[in-house]
Amino acid sequence: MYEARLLQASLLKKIIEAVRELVTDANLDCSESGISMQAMDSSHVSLCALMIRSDGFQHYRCDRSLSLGLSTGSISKILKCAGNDDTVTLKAEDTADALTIMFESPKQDRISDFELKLMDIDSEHLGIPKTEYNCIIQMPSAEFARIMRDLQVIGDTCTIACDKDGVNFSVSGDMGKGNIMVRNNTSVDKEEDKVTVTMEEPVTLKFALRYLSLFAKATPLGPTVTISMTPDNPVVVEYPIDTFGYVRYYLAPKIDEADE
Amino acid sequence: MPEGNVQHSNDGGEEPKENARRSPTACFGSALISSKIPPRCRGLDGEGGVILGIDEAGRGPVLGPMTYGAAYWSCADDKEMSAKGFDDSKALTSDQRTSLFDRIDRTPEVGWVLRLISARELSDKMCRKVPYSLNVISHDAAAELIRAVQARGVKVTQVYVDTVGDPAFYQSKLEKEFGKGIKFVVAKKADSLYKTASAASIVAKVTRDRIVEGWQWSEPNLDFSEDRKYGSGYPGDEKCKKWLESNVDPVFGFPDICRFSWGTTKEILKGPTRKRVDWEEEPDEEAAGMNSIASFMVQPKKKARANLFVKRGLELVDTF
Repeated sequence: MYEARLLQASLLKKIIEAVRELVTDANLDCSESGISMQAMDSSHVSLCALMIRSDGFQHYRCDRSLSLGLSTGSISKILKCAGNDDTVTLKAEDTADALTIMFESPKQDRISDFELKLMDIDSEHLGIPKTEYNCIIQMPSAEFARIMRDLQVIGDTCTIACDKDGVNFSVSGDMGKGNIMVRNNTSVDKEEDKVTVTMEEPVTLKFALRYLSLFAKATPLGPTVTISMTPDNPVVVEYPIDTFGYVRYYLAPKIDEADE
Repeated sequence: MPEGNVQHSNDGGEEPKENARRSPTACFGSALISSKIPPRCRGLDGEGGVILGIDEAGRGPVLGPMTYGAAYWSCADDKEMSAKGFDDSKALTSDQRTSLFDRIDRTPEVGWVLRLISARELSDKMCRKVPYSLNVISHDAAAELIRAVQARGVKVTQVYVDTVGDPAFYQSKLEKEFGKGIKFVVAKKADSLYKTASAASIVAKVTRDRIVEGWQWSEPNLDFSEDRKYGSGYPGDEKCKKWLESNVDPVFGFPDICRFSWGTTKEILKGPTRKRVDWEEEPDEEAAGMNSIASFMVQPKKKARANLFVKRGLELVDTF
């Protein structure tokens, strides 16, 4: 028997929306410690890893580890049926071929039940190596989303250059060039408006904007985002889920044609 | 499908053609085979109602079809028919079953219908992305048998079914589908408790055995006639396992006698000598100039199954 009750259905909705466009089908791995998911996009250049620890749930029971194969599009459609303040409960039998999703309104006067058919998804769980990052940038998530949106107007490859003064996002395309500089800024009123760059060595890497802007779909999850870079390695874009989880995206850097 | 191995008498042309085209039996070498309708089961003659029993054979094996049989007779004949010695096919020897099957086929009061679910159909349904489970396949086959008999004007009033999965759930499923006109009894061991189910179990078992014994290979380039040493067809049978292991094609896997959805076959197909087929996708422009993200990650280590389980052929099952 598997049961997980989350106080805010809206949070689960945001989490699914954060991965839906990148990943169409994925296994939700449910264990005693919580729910995790790991999946690659269809081109296999990016990886999305999700974790919601069990302490984030109001009620959590997992008798046996389960892997629930889901279509993210389908679960997203069901989650759209939840009211803004509803709680959500996920339920599955140990040998289930369906996941039950139940919404309850705050006054308990409306209870809806949905059943989602599960899929058999072949996936291998990749190990994510521990990496020392040369640059770690923390910035407001809305700011990052906006930069990605603005740069996409000009071109499709974004160069992220990070040094001790801040981060420079640049793009060039047929119609011209664009450049957005975000400076280290710790003298703001609100903690979440801060831009902090923790740096060992300056790093410059190029990435496909399409993927970075898909990662920015996680913006509603929280006010800040962390971007970690090290040369010749995937960038990590991390959005914390409250205090009990995260959504992390890994994206392979673009290789300079001159280097090849 | 080895036509002609099955002794069957077809009612011929009574089934609407259109229906036949839509039926799931039209593909994958599956079939719906029926005896002549006993005159006393028809329309007005069937006034007193008709008892029908359902049972299956070949649920466990990795080779050959699963057969779903139904046997029926008029309530008026019940006493006489029940005295004919039909019993649970598992309690009978092969010769006894064969002679009882001949008796069933020669007794005009007994009607039977059989749904052959080929290994190919099982593979197709069970290997889907949203798998069509064996239990649901079984439930649907049972409903199909009842509908096939009803479509020929037999007024079915009582149905005895040997259960697959939870009897209560199965029963409510059938009741929902057929309404109040039929009294359903879904039970464990129905094939030994109810004579119609016993007869059905004989029809199903004998047909399956004949098909497997006289299997005609549909693969034009393969000739296994010399090498029909596949044993009982059960995954636990060493002979069967050996046969599978020595007859696996590195690319195409197994001939279509074999169920690809069974654990045994899946294991063998994963084996080291098999050739992997990569279905290459069109080069993705979005991904141009990037390495696969997996190349930066640590490939998963395959966790070996404990020797204890492998040696004893123990497998995890969720249905019994």
